[in-house]
Amino acid sequence: MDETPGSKRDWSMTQASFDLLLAQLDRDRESAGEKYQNVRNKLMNFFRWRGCAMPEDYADRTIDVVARRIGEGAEITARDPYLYFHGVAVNVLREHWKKAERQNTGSLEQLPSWQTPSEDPHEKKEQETEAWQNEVRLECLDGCVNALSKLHLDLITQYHQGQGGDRIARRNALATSLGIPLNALRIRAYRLRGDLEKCVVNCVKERVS
Amino acid sequence: MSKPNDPASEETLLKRYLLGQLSEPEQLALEERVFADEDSYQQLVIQEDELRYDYAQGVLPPKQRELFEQRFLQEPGGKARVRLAKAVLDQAFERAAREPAAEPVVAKQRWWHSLDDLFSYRIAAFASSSAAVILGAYLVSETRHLKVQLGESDSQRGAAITAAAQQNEAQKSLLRELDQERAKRAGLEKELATRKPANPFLAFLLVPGLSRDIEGSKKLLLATGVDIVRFELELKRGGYARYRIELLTLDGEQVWSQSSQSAGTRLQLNVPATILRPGDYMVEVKGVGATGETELAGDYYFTLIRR
Repeated sequence: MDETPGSKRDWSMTQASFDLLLAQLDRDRESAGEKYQNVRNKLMNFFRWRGCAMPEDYADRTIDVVARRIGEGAEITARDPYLYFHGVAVNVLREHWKKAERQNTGSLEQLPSWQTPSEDPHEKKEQETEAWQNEVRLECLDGCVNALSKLHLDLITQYHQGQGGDRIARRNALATSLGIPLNALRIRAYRLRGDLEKCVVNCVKERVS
Repeated sequence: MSKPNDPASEETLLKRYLLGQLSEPEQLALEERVFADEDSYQQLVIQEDELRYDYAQGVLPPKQRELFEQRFLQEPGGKARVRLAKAVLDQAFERAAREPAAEPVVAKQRWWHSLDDLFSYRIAAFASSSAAVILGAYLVSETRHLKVQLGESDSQRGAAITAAAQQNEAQKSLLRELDQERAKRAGLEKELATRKPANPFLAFLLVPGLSRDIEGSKKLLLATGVDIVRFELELKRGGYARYRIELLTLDGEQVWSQSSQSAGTRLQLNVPATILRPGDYMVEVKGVGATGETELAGDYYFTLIRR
């Protein structure tokens, strides 16, 4: 069975079908909204990690297929609703590869990301504005890193020191000295990096706007 | 594909998935396992971020480096993200090199650790006092013959006695702090126990691992007037006789702790709102087995915002 929206081209999401979809995710509308966002994020990562150039588009196509099926009376009974979407997403992905094969080097959109030309519109735009943003970016980097507490600065630098086995040993020692499992240390380092990046990006946005 | 017992093997597997090194059946099996489990999924997200930072630092082996470039540098904004990662780390290392050597990164001292210090002080005080007594006896016997040295030895004894007195004072001070901590905690516990049901409390449900929202941690909005914050902790691993729950800041400082009996799939943690400051927090749940051994049964993360 072709699960792609191509087989039901006339179908499009309506408020009623979206409501039905949410109701399948959770009885509470707010929780359903959170679950929907979670499923969509996962689908986008799935398509991205599988090499689709337009992951957001494919995630939405998958959601459309599921919503259509629910409208036709299907029920999500998987232990985790995401798994139901995942099954559909795999079919959407297969169809995507089939089309790409049929068209060989057809449209750019059909190519996996690593086969698309290296011209990245975001990249090009970035390069154009980069020169005049460089100074601002440096100032922002300086400000954001200087705003880190000494404890966090030490954590981030110690976490990223060394290579190979030495790096692993350092991280284990760091987790032990903090009295936390290695997994918790990884999460902390991840969040610190994320906060720093957000700080820089927001700072640059504010300065250039 | 079942999850490898060894965390390092799981890490390698996730890395191979991200770099496109698994076969189609392996990919499907891993996705079915990982995408349905919030913890594992977050590990995958973190693994991608670590790959990016490792690439930016130039520490990826050549093959992985090549695969990373094929998979992630071609994405819209991929190169910019790597540049940002490199810039952030460079700046952090530059500041670390500029600043004097820091204290080792260790968890902040918790109050019961001061008990260890207290015992150390006692031993030190006892050793100093004993030394003073022995030194004193020795000096008395020497007095008859070495009157000049007596003055010097007397001053040494005096110094030792002063040191012992200072240590006693430190000991008393620690005991006072300990009593204050106990009284404060007892007060808070009493307050919790005697709260009228009418007093407002706020309940939050936390699931293990990072928040479902990748863009940030779970945000808890705490309005003024709330007395007690109740955290409902969804257990990932149950079956323990009892649990030890600790609320910590992300710097490892303990804010609150409590024990809880086994209670189905959820545990409750009640915390007085007054002790919660805005910031990032972690809740660690340790399961206590029948023989007293403990193991991590779940960790939860959230950011508290005060309104």
